[in-house]
Amino acid sequence: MRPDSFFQKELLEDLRDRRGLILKFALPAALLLPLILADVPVSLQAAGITVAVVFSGVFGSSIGLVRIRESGMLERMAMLPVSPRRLTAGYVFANALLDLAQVAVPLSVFLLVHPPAPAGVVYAAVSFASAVVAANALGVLVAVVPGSSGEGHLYAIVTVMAAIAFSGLIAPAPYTQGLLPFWYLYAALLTTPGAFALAPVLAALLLGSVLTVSPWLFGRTGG
Amino acid sequence: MVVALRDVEKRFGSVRALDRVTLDVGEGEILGLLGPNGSGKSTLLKVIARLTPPDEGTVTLPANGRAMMRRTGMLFDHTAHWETLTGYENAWFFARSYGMDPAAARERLESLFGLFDLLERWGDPVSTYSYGMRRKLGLIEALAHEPSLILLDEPSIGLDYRARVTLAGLLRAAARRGAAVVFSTNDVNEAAGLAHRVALLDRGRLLVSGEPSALVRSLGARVTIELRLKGPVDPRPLSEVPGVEGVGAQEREDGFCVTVVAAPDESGPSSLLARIVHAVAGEGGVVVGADLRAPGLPDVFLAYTGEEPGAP
Repeated sequence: MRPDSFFQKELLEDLRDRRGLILKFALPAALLLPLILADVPVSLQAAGITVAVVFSGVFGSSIGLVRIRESGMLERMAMLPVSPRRLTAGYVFANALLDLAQVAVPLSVFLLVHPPAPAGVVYAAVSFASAVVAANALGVLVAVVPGSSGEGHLYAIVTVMAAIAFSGLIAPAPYTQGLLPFWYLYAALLTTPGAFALAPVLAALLLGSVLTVSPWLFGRTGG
Repeated sequence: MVVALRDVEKRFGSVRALDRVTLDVGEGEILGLLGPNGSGKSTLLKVIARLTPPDEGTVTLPANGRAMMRRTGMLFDHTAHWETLTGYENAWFFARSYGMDPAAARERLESLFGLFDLLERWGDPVSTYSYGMRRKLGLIEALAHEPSLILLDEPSIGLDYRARVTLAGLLRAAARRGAAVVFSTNDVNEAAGLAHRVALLDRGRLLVSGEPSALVRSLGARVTIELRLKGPVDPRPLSEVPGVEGVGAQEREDGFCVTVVAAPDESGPSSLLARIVHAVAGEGGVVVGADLRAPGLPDVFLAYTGEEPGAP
């Protein structure tokens, strides 16, 4: 495959990095499968899956983008006659696709172990996809600010911790959890009725925010 | 005019990277930006590329936004690429992003990879490339879509001699088809050989710009020619040669020497030397050796900046 777009380029790069790819698939499985198969409360398992989605999405996207900027490639891409929004969307969706694939296996096992009603599978799938896109969008937002990889890690950690806390994954956060799409995934896995409803809307809002700030990301604010 | 800068200023904190720079680049013109390190060459290229907005002044280009980006090719001073992708995949991504259709991209990239001796390595990951190969790849990516504005930051750094010749040929060809080329360099001889016009920068200020030969002439420095002859001749008729301002002669251990001082002219010092040798032959003299000391662009650089070209 020859990359015709940033989306394809991101996918191709991920596929080329065999070691990285194995790690990306092995790590969620190694962490989540024992939890899912263990005799622990379902809420803990659902929280584990949601945390994995938040962590891989925010961390992967933000650190990846900060590294791209550090390498000088972001500057080079700012010269391309492609809109920053298109480039950013390509980046978010390519990374989201990879995250979907890497957490899909543990999620599938979870749904096999705790089979929901057919509608519950749809809820889980929709909220899962929404949470993955939202986490990656959040990662890109986080990457707008830091100037170095070290700073990027710090911002990413703070963001992940805040997203986990505000999404009510550690303790209920009644005032904030409904505002973040991650709680909806958690709730959908616990087969809370109607829990998925707002997840795509919130993910779309986050993605919209990212696309709005994308000209800053690519340094294209000078006209 | 392809590029018109008027009173452009750019500051980074307290550092004035560009200080009221006014400069034009025309269609088919190759402009060399020359100056000591930190003189503002790279910043100027980024300002022209619209990557760095100026704090003051205006930059006028023939188009705006993506229309101009599509017509611009830029080589940065770094060698950033997608490391795990092959050289060809990197170049393909840029060619397609610049709007080239697949067939044209394939043909053009094959030609450029061949010209830069990278055909055998185009299928290898960039992570295995040497510095020079990365620079070549950067040039391929900058030139593949045949841009009408070519901005190159120190393009010859890391290139072998053959690649430098190839690059010069490509830039001259681009200029012939109407492209404006702006390149920065620390190599005064490269600027003198390639650029139609040179702009000399120092501490963000544009000190002088013009054709290299005109800049050299403007120094008022003289060409000195020392001829060793087989036997003595009357040197006085040599003063009649156009451009000659002074003639001296002396008998030395290594033979009879004639020293001629002349003002540089458009025909160049080699032509002047030929006229002097011809005149000496007319007086019955036999030239056995010649030493030509002509002022050049390095003298212009030194005169304006007080520094050796490329000195840190």
